Amino acid sequence: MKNKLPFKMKYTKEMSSKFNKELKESGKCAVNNPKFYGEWNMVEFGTPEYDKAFDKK
Amino acid sequence: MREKIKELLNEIKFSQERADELKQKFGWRFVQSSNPKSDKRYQKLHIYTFKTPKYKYIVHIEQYEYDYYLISFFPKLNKDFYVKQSRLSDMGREHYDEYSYLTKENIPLQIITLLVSEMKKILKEKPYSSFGYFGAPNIKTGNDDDLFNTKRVRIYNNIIYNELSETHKVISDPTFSGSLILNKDVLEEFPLYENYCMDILVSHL
Repeated sequence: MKNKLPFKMKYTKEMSSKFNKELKESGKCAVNNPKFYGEWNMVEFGTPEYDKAFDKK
Repeated sequence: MREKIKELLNEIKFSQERADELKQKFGWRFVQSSNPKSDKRYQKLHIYTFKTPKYKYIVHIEQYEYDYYLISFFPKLNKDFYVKQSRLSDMGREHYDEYSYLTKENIPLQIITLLVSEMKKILKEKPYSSFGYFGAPNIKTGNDDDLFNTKRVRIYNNIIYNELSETHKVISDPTFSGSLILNKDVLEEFPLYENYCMDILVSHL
């Protein structure tokens, strides 16, 4: 498995936090909710969680 | 009614033959691959176009490190459109951008067939690729709610899941109607791959 992938990913949690912090500070955020960046709630398609999250009332 | 639509979407199967027909019908063509501008993070931007009877469409495929691709498409609209919509936006009124604009051509399934075909082409060359996209809202007001659970993202997720679920996981967040199609092997090896792809996707909002 380890040699199977064509790349080794070097992205870390710290890099992710830094990226989102800079994004928030850039003033280029489309979402107004300041808590949004870095705190998303992804759900997997085909699960009850997805159906609940994407239920359109 | 919604259940019926869901059932119908589940029955739609991608066909390469159909995709090839559509490519010919709409004059699908590769335009260019360009290097990033200084403020961009992608490695390459691949541009394609196709033409319907009413509009010329542009397809952007941004290629990132670790075989990650962001896909977007939009009709080419004239300058007046952007000037008018910008004015409406400044006044805090409902407006469109090129992604939300409704062309009323009723061809979303044809377009998604073309895009899935291109994704499969990428996967043939790079089987560990993953993808990201948004489903734009039909109208914009400037509120966060605009982005919530759009019709487009629900349709795209359904069709793409039917095609790629064997090798990829489709995850989505209704709060901004963005989705990732992540290669399962890559995710198993590098769980933070999801963060990497998400961070890039969300920075495009």
